Amino acid sequence: MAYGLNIEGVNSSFVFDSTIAGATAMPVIQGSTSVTSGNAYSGYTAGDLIFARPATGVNVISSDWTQTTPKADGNQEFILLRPSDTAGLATNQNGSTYGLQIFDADGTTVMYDSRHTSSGLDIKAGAGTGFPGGGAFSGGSFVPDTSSSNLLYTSANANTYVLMSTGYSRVMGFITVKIGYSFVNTNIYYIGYYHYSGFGSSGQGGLPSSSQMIIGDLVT
Amino acid sequence: MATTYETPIVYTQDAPSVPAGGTQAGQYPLYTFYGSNYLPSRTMYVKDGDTFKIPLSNADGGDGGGTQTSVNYAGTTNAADPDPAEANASQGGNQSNGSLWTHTVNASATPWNDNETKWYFFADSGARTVRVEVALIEISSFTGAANTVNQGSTLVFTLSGLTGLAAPVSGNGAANCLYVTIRDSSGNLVTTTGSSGITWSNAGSNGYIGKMQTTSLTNTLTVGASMSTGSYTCRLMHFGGAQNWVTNVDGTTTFSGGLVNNPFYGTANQLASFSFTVNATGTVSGLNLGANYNAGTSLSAVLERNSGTITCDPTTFQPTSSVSNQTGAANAKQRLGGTTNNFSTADLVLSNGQSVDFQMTGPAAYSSHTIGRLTIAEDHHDLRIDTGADPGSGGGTGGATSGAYGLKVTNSDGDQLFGTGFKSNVVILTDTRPALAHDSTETFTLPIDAADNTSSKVAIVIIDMFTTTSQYFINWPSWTITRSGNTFTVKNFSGNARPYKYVAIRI
Repeated sequence: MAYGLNIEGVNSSFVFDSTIAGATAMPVIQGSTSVTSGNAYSGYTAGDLIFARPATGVNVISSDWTQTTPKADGNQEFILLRPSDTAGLATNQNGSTYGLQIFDADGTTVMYDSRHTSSGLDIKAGAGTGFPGGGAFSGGSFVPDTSSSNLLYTSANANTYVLMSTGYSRVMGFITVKIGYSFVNTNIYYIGYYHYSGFGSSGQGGLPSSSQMIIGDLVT
Repeated sequence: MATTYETPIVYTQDAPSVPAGGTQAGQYPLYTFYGSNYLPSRTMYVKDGDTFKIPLSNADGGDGGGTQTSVNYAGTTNAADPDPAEANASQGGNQSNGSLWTHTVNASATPWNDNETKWYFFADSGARTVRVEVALIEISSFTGAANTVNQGSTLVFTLSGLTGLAAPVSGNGAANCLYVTIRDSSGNLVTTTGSSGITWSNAGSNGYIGKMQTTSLTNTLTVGASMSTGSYTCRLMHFGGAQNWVTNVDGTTTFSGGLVNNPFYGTANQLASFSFTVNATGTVSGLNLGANYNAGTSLSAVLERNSGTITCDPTTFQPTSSVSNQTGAANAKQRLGGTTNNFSTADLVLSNGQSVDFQMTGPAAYSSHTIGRLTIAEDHHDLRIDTGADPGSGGGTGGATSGAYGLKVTNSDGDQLFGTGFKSNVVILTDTRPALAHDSTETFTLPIDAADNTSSKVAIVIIDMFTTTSQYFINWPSWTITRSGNTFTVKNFSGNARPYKYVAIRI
């Protein structure tokens, strides 16, 4: 590279590369915030990434993106990540007169600014597509499949969050569709299913993960 | 095919202990043509659409006979059961010795809901009686596990939704069976067994006839290693009485011998059939999934590899491709190479020159590994994904942050927020797209090298932006992402046009 900043970790793992035109970091611009099921994620604006984890006493979480403002399904704690090149981001969250600032080739577009946040999301897993979802109706309610075929991550802790921007939760008459996650102890499972019950018939099926999922630990 | 059966004469029998006029147990002895053999608890089996004709007589059937020269109908066990056409409106009637009592089966009619009818007859004021029981055999499906099978391999046939067949009789393997047989493309019955023919896992006294019972609804056919290749049909039949019972099949009375009216394998008694092809056996070459993969600190990394072109010897050989998990939750799956089908654990049947896309998942923990296997015919290849040690999440010790070099941004508490040893998320390409039609695709180019276009290095997130408040709009998101070189292609398979946003994140 003729100029810029390229940061790599062990095994040449990626940290940052300013030569990727248009690249922008995603700082945590809103720390852990509570949202109750059925309510909108407060502070969200288009372009943000929502990461969440279940509130105490909750296992399965999802999100409803069928309306302009996404809503939580299941009580959650969530954080918001916003692109560094967004105008108006605060520049006093981690010092204000010092730090590291990286610009794009135009010299004005901010790719990273260490003053944007005093928190970080340390990515732990980038789970791909192809997890099958599924489950079965049992005991009067639908029980999502939490077999090893849907296992995403085994080391979740109290600071582990998952990307909710790919979730889906909707009830259409007698059909329920849900794409989300189940937290069971330190394991995180992909959840994806449809279930219908009415007009004398019932059934269900799996919805394989069609978008990539990201899991990270919040550092504050 | 609808069949008309006419049984031999059913004779009334002497000395019931209870006078006629009712239907108490023991009052009317069951008439069976085969004693304790094939039909110990039924007079005959039929299928939907069949017509059966049963002649009744009070004459000498071996016990001297009675005096009355006609037989009276006493009704059915249940008034709702189907009566013979010759019965009167009061579930009675009388016909001279040898006259036929007939009925045509309509399986969808309520009287056949219990899959049986029992007719009671008497003569000589009840001193001579008899009953006939006719059971309707119905099934919901009969299938083979595949439409092709290689010489020397097996094919499992499965029956479901069986009703009307009596339960097996302990110690009498011939009782209450359905039969499966194989015909070649000319309709000839395959009677050769062993290495040049067929073998059933549950066979009758003739090895080329397989059996199914209420307690054994599958039967595995082993195709001999030197059995002739070509098209075959497996036929499922109920037992049909002696050959001369069959008087008419689908409007014809011209029979080609036992192939039509044999009681075990005649098509007059056919309930269902399944066609399949026997292919030549052979070997394959070309299977290679490439080197094992080190996912570094990426957990649950999904890896896709192509098998390479599979060459079959002989070229007519159609090998089976299967996947399995050897170590850990490898989540091994496959799809036919060159397609965008969903990955599945189901077996594939390949042809010469095809390939397989293999997919597996890496460990969901650090310092671990998973191994998935792709097996094609006699060959297999194992692929292993390793993860490295936990890089740590900050602080001054452990993982990648312990080195004497690098860049680290911390907060005022000293917690690392950015830099070496901290796996960041950097958006490298994003766009909000207008509605993409169902079954349509769009392709985008990433600003990275093709080698970095993997799920463990670049997460491609699709945010579905279709909004509706109607609870009656019943489509939901179904997107697929495929990668090629430094591009990725998004496909909408939801059933309706949907806007979306993609976010490509370097991780």
